[in-house]
Parts: sequence; structure tokens; C-alpha cells
Amino acid sequence: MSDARTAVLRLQGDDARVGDALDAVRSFAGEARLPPELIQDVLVVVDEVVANALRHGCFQGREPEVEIRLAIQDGALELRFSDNASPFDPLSVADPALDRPVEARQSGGLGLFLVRSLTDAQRYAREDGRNVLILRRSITL
Amino acid sequence: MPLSIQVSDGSPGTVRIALDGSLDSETTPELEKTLRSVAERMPRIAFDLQRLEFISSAGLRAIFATVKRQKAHGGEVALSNMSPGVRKVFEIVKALPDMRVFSSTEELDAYLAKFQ
Repeated sequence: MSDARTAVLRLQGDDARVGDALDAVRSFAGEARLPPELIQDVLVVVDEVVANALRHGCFQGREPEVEIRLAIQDGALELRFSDNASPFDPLSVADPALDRPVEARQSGGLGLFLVRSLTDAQRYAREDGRNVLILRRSITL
Repeated sequence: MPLSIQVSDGSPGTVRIALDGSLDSETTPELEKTLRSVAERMPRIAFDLQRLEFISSAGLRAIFATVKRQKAHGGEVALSNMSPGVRKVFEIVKALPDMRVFSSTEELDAYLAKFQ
């Protein structure tokens, strides 16, 4: 359910698709008339966080569930991700070694580096047995 | 948003892969499958990104893995026609110096013509 200012999306089950999250965010951002460049940046962020949770999250037999809340307020887009996987703070992941050539780099950490680069503020918390990641990106029109 | 992949033979020793749509976590496995089937020890792999609207870290990883495989046998990877949004993602992770980048199909063609 969404209007131009807020939207909530839930992905559930083993067949949950990252593509559904991207399409929902495209639709929300288009309706809210967010700048195309910002939409691209936000999609990179959503792809990374949701794919990480669904593919690498440890759910220990629970049905995977990821919730995404988008809110436009005070000149910023706030993205709040929460999931029911075991505790994992994505902000604790080290930056990749970008001073090395591509072929000599380890593949880890690339996406989370993009998440940090494309947002202005990041916060992680463990709340009520869920991982909660709150990201803010200012909207410059 | 889906991804469509079109593979064509370029000049000798080159395979061209045109990407159209979204290269994200959902669609990147399709590209990886294509790369496994066409790109075995090809000297040059050229990605035409003219119609690529979006790339995520999953897409980057697939292209970086291609660079690694190519360089391991003395081959190379070329990218052409990147939109500003796609280019920005490559720039943030400082990847462009490790690839041949062409701003247009004409530039890419001129480079590949050297291998005729």
C-alpha cells in the first residue's frame, strides 16, 4: 500500500524475489516524481540490502521475511529495512580494496560499499529479534 | 524490469554482448549463464550497454569476474555506450581503469577494426 509519500513492501517465503522489491520501488519513486538519478542510486541500495538478506541471511528454519518502508520527509528519502534473519550488521563489513585492479580484488563488500556511498546516513539496530537498517538519502531537486 | 541479452560475433576474436533492461540480483544469473556458454577463451568480450538502464553490485560482480577470466589468458573486456547512471556505479568502485571504455559504438568499432 502506498501514496506518494510512504510505502511499505513485504517480501516473504523462499521464493521471494528481489526483482519484486525493485519494481515496487521504481513504481513508488516514479509516483513521487523523485529525480531519475536518485531513483537509480536507491535501486542499487535496495537490490544490495534485500538480496543480502534473502540470499545470505541465516533464518534457521523460519520463513524469510523482509520489510521495506520508504518515506519522504524533511527533504530526504528514508529507507527502513527489517528482516527476521540472525543478527547481522551490514555496516560492520569492511570496505573492499579499491586501490587494487578489478581482477585482483576479493568479491566481498562491494555492494555494501555502494550502499554507504549512495546514502547520506546509515544506522543499524537489532530490535525485537529483527535486523533493522535505516538509510537516509537527501533529495536535491 | 527484465534483462534481455543479445550475443553476436564481432570482428575475429570478439564476441559482442548487448544488454537491454536491468542487470540486478534477479537477472544477473542469466548473464552469467550466457557468459559461460559463449566466452570461453575469446580474446575480446565487448559489452554494449546502450540499452542497459540499471546495474547493481550483482551485475558489477559478473562483469568483474569476466575481466578476471579474460585477463588470466591475456584477453580483455570492453564496455561501450554507458548511460550516466550506469557509469556512475562503475566510477564509485574505481573499476573503469581496468577495462577498455568507449563512449560510442563507432569508437568501439574503430578499435575492433584493428583486429580484422
